[in-house]
Amino acid sequence: MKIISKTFNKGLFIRRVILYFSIILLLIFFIAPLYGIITLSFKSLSELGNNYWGLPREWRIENFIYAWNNPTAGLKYYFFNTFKITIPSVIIPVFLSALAAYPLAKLKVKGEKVILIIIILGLTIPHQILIVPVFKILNLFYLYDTTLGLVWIHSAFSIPFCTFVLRNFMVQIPNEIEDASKIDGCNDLGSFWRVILPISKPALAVLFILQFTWVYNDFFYSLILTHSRTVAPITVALAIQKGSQYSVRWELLSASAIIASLPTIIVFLIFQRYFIKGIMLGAVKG
Amino acid sequence: MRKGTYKRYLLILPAGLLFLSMVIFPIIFTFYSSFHSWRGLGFDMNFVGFNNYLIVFKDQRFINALENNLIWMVAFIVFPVFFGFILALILNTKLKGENFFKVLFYFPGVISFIVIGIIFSMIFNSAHGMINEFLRAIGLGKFALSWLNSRFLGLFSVIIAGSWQYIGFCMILFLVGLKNIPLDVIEAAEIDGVNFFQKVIHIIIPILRPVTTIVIGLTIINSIRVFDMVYAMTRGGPSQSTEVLGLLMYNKAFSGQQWGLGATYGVIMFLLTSVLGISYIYQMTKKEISY
Repeated sequence: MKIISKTFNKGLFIRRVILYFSIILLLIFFIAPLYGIITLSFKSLSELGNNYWGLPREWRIENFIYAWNNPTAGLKYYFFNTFKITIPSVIIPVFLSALAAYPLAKLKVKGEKVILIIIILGLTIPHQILIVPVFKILNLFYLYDTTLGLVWIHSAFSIPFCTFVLRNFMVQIPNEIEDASKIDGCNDLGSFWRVILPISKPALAVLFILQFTWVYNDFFYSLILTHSRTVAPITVALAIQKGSQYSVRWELLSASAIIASLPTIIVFLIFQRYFIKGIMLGAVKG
Repeated sequence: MRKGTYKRYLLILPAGLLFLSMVIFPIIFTFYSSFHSWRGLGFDMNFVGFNNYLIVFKDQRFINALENNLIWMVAFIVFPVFFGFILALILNTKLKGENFFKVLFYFPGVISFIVIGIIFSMIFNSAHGMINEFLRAIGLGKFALSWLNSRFLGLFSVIIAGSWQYIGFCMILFLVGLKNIPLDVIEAAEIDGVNFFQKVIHIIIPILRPVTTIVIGLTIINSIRVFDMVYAMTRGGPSQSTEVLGLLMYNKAFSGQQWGLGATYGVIMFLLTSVLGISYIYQMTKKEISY
């Protein structure tokens, strides 16, 4: 599909100019913040005043070291908490959703339509509205400020999306494959484990990656439901740093922001295709 | 029922229990507590009927927050959704480096909101922020405004930050939609001699209607839900002028000790997303995956 017609009429030329101009503006829009934060993280505080726009005179890594080590909210305390929370919150819901998606996709289940509607409604819920009861429930079970508490809620919130995506994926698996396994003597669970699950690996991979990104980046729930250094994930550390005396030390904040973002950026760069696939499969969780 | 079908429900059970415990039950609880006055200690509540709702609808702060959400909604449709579409159109040509651009535009979507909040707080800072420094450097210093210190400028700034994060997502959705347009339709049109703009308006846009419904529906739903971005940049300030519904709910509950009232906002938000998102929901239920 060619965007540039092969005519040279004036109206089109003007439109092309506008188009290119807008693209350049958009590119600047995207790149400028990145340039800003990256260069800032390598600069010293004084350079904010006298070398605002240029590249750093010296590419110092002190900011990064300080962001990691500092006694108030150094990222080193919080970094691994994030993974303690994220990894289970990825594995549990994806697996349980696969288990639930299988009957919905392949077996006759009474009330299937109703369940699907509930799932889709679950996709649209503003999660913030649940914060009060969730807070209360966690407190009730003494799970406030615990890894388990966060894993519980993140897993629960992900169920609708994962189930929806997996169900849609499984619906497409040809029935013959499943029937073959049943003839060979598998029951439902057997079919699931030996046939459906392996075939679903692409969808599972997509969900793992999207879930990882989503849970890792969560800020709201982590902020409210945790506070101690042993539990709170890295997004909370950033919030603390931003609100503390470091709020004016932009070069330190930039370094922190970059360190905190590295895992998801790396995952994204390596697994780009999966992100796009994930959006295709689910079109949610923007 | 055939023997053994109960086992199927067993498969659904674990996920279902998880979902019920932390989604369904809290929703019901929110509805329930919205009819009560509750200070938040324990579960000690007093039934007040629709009183909370009356308080809310008369509250100027609520109207203000609702307006902010609506502004957000319109702004998001005008900016990231529209430009996401344009970008998708552009990227759909056999552009060299298509992948690079896809990565560049989508990449803000994988960063946490707090990071984006940090980045854009620095950009919009009135004393040393990137924008004001730039304006001063090119002599337009009088346009160096207090971007985060008033209602409309504050909203504008947060919306820009949110758009930076969101536009890539819209673009990808439209791109996927575009790639699925059957080639013969396009070729038939080209044979008939349509120019580019006619092609877009009369062919592409109608074919993309399902995708567009999803994008716009999602945008509407997300504009009701917005919280993180505003919290990270302005906290709803100054004086609650940039507050959105989600923030208002949070403030009422956690700072104001009015948890019943907070729940009322929650219910309102839930109803809003369900009603406004209805076309999205419908589209999703119809959706047969064939990508």
